[in-house]
Amino acid sequence: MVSGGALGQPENDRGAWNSRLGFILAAVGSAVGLGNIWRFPFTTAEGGGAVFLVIYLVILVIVGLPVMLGELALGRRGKLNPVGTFRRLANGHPFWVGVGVLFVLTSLFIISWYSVIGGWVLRYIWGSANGSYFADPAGYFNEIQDGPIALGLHAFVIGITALVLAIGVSKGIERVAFIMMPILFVLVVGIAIWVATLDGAGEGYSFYLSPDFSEFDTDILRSATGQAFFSLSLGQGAILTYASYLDDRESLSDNGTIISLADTGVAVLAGFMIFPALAVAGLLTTEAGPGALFIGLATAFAELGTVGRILGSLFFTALFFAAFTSAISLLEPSISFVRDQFKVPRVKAAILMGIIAYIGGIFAALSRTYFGIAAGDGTDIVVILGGLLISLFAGWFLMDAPEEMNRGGRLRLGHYAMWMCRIPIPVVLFTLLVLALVDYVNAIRAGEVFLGL
Amino acid sequence: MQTVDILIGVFAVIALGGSVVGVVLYEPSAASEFGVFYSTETHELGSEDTSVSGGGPNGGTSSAEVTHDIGISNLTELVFEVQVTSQSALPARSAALSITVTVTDPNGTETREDGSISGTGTSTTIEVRVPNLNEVPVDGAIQAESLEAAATQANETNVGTNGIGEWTVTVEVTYPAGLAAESGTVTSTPRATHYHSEVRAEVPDISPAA
Repeated sequence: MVSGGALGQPENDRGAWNSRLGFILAAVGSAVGLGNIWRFPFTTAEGGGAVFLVIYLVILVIVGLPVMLGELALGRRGKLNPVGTFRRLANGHPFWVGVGVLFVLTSLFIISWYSVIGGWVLRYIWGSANGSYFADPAGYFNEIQDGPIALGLHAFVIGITALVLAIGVSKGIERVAFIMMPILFVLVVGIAIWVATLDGAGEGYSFYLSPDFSEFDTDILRSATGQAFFSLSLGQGAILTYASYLDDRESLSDNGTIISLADTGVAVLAGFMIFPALAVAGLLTTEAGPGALFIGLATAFAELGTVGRILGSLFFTALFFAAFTSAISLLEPSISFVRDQFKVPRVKAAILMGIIAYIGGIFAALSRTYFGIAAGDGTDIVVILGGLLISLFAGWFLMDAPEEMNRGGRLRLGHYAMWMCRIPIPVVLFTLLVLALVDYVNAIRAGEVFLGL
Repeated sequence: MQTVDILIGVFAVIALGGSVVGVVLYEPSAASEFGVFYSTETHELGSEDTSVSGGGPNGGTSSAEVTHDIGISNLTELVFEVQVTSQSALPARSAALSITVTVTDPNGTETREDGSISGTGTSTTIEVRVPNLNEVPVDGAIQAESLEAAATQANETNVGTNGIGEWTVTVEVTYPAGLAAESGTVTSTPRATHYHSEVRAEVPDISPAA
């Protein structure tokens, strides 16, 4: 029997969180990623500002939080990696063991291209400091997207990620979360305060959050639903694995709610630094996507001259912290799998999975076609599928999930979450899955991607 | 040596070999891809006017002509708003003035609209619409070395030349019998709708799960 460890006690064989705050910061670090910075604020501005925010929070409670609680409950119940957890909880049923394997592969798949973006962000920190992208932001992005340097930076990001994970749960992941998450928060708040003092920032706030009820339609609902689900790092095995190190006395309802709200809070705060900066540079736009981040904002920093150099360096540093803490959570499920299943020392497991993740990323760092498919529809499909399977398992097979979720806390969301995971959420996620598959098939038909790549 | 050590060794070799092969086979793209997006906009062009006179006891028809030299490319539609004003009205005139506006494009193709000034009225406005001059291109992508080069390239391709040249607007006024000779004015104001391209750097779409 494998024990999950306890608060304040030395790490057991698998490792355990040293404190509740450490777990929350690590889980928030996992959930807060690039999407919080580049997608949420722009989607909010485009979707009616404050109106979208209210709709988003409602959908977060309806879709995001129940799946989050389901994944937390599975992880802590199983107290193993995704494969071991499903094997234990499903009594070795091959289908669910296969689902566990899917989670390990999904997290490895995502980290393999995610670290390439981590490398881009590192280049942008440097590029902001010396102004090297100021003359031609679009050309700069084109230049750094792929190639030997992108490959080298991918290796660097994977390397430092594996290093943190090799150190362990409390001394590695938790310590990094303790350092990076407060710095990320301070940077985001600090930049937001600074840009507020610049001339012309006011226009950015009204652009961002002015309520606009005319924008309310079914597209907004779809957009908010996708954002609420994707933003929390669900369906990737990361939250499940983090929960496997969580003490039995911790309330999943309380912690899941805090993680969801903190994730949303950082995303909302990101808008307070982005839109005033864009307004000051006269470049307000709602065009979401990585282009907004790597070209739109980069152009804004270029317009601001010396201020832009400092602002850009700080901004991309914050972005790197967000990406790095997410990368850590993405590599951990596979390391945990190798450790649990094959009784391999953590250091060796980290080296092995780091190398495998690096190999996967060679394609992403050198081929734009592969990167586009992997980082786009490919990830959408596997993550939604993962969320759907988590939801079904938690709703239909984990019969004591409500007790697991409610134990030891003030909030008692267990029965609500389990009921939502049974039918409503699977219907929503199945619909999202079909839409993602349709997008993928349309891309194949349009000749944008090749079958099988 | 444990199995994991062997696996680490094997995958390290694959990683090293894959990196070397990947870098050797890697072809840097000097040109990057830019998306070209087309949209339309409408402008009012300068108006031209002239006078028209005719009529008399036996009625009859008079005509007047104005020309517009249109130098805009990528035209999708031209609309000529022609205002005809008559000096006479009740009680001097009890019948309507019949008006025919004919727009002739640079190739000689004519488009016609009829109208009238009622017995009690003194002016009318007739719109002559000439649609489908050039088709709006489908959004696409082009390869170029910079945004500026891409914009230039986009402007130089898919140029719609139909409609460029001299357009003639001919107004024929048919006067009823029994009316004293009179004169009026003709003002033609064209509105041009044309498409233009906007070039944006193509950026790979990244899953919101990131």
